[in-house]
Amino acid sequence: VKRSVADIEAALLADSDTEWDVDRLMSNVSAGVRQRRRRNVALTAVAAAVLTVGATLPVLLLHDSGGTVPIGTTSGPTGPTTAPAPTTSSTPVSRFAADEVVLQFASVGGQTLPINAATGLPNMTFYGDGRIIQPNVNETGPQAPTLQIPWVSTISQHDLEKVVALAKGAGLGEDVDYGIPTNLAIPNSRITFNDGSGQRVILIDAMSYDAEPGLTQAQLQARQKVKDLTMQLANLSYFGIEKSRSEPYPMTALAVIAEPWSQLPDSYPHPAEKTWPGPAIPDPGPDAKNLSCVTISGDELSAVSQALQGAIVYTPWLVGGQKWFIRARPLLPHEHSCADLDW
Amino acid sequence: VPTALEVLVTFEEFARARLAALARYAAVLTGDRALAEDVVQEVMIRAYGRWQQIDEMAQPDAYLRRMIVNEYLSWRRRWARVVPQADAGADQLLPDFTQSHADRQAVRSELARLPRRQRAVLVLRYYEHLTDAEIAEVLDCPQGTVRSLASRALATLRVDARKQQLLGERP
Repeated sequence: VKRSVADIEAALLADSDTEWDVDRLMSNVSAGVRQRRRRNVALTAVAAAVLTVGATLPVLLLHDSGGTVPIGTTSGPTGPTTAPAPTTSSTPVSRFAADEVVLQFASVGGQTLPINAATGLPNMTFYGDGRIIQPNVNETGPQAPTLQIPWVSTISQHDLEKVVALAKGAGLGEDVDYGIPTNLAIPNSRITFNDGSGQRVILIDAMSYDAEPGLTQAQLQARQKVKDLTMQLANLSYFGIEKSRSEPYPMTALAVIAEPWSQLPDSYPHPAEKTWPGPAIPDPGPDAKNLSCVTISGDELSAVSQALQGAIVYTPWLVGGQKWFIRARPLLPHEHSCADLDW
Repeated sequence: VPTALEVLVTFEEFARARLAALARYAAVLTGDRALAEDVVQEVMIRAYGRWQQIDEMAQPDAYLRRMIVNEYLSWRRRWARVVPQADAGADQLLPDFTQSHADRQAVRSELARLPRRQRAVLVLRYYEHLTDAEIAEVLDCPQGTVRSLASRALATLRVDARKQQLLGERP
């Protein structure tokens, strides 16, 4: 007996003709969200450290060896704030504002503790004036210092245009489908790109896990082009792009993120308590992240930087009658307040 | 009147308004109420984590339906690794008390036994009423593959090819 398309449509409609208890579904979704949050928070220090290293692997790839300097000083670089850009015979005038992000790679999401997400630095940022800012990848794990100071180096405007061309060649200027793998634990890549026609933000879910089910060949190829780009940016000299020597980023404002102190297991570091010399820490927000944030600039900056010297992420800080864990990092050129961090 | 992009919709508002429709869509796609529930819940949990980006899209609903298709296809693949594939879902269909045609239940059982991509093509074509070009985009394959998947599925279901031409081909 031959059937008609109408029979198929009727059969499919029959499958749709079921009532759903929306309250129950909502409740299950909420429970799922809470469960994954708890799972994130319950990570051990070791697992967190392993994931932090995993999240910063792209940085290791991106960071070339030209310009390793000791980090940890809070007095800022002694030389010029940024080394002079390599001179070229025909340096074009920038079509970008100095503090404008031209290209940035950042890891977001995944099984990262909220405080790590909020204090994390983007893996690599190219600014309109040719500055490149990258985190100090040696400063991770349980003994990581409270104050994270990134590196800054510079390329010429001419070379910045080469970087823009490389990024466009990798497809970042187009609408590309990168697919969505099913793995929730892996950080996602957020790429910000401005080729002069406006800023685009490209999200690639779990870029490092390209073998996940759910990705098509076209999506895998699109992801590979972006990964190739990160390798190219790790080897700028191969493309005739000269980078100045890296220096500690000269901060003008500091973001301080605080989390209420809690008893740590014996296996964690237990550094001595310190007294917080900075401004009052506001109560944590009402959400599950349980974090506070203040920014510090001007006269308070040097006192706070001095006090942060030698402290690690598990140092308990006494503020008034309360104890907190504190992390700090400079606000980058395009950031102006706590709201600009990755919450 | 503000556009969809200008109205900030919270995840909860969206979920409350659209969960039942998305669950119905997942049920049609999977032919299995329990699997539909699992798929739609997983997709909503994942959507929560990136709601800010999804909310800014012109058509968040379409994006979520696409996530549901991808989740269904990958879900079945994962599941197939550990569970022998035999009549998947056929026994889990709810009895259809409203059916007026004696063959309806048989069609549903046969639909449930189709390979997942073939079933997805039929759902996108005859339930979502997408064109073959749109289906090709959702499944990220050439239009020829869509036509071939549909053709094989319709042959399995013994659907009249002539009527398929008249009714099935979208502009």
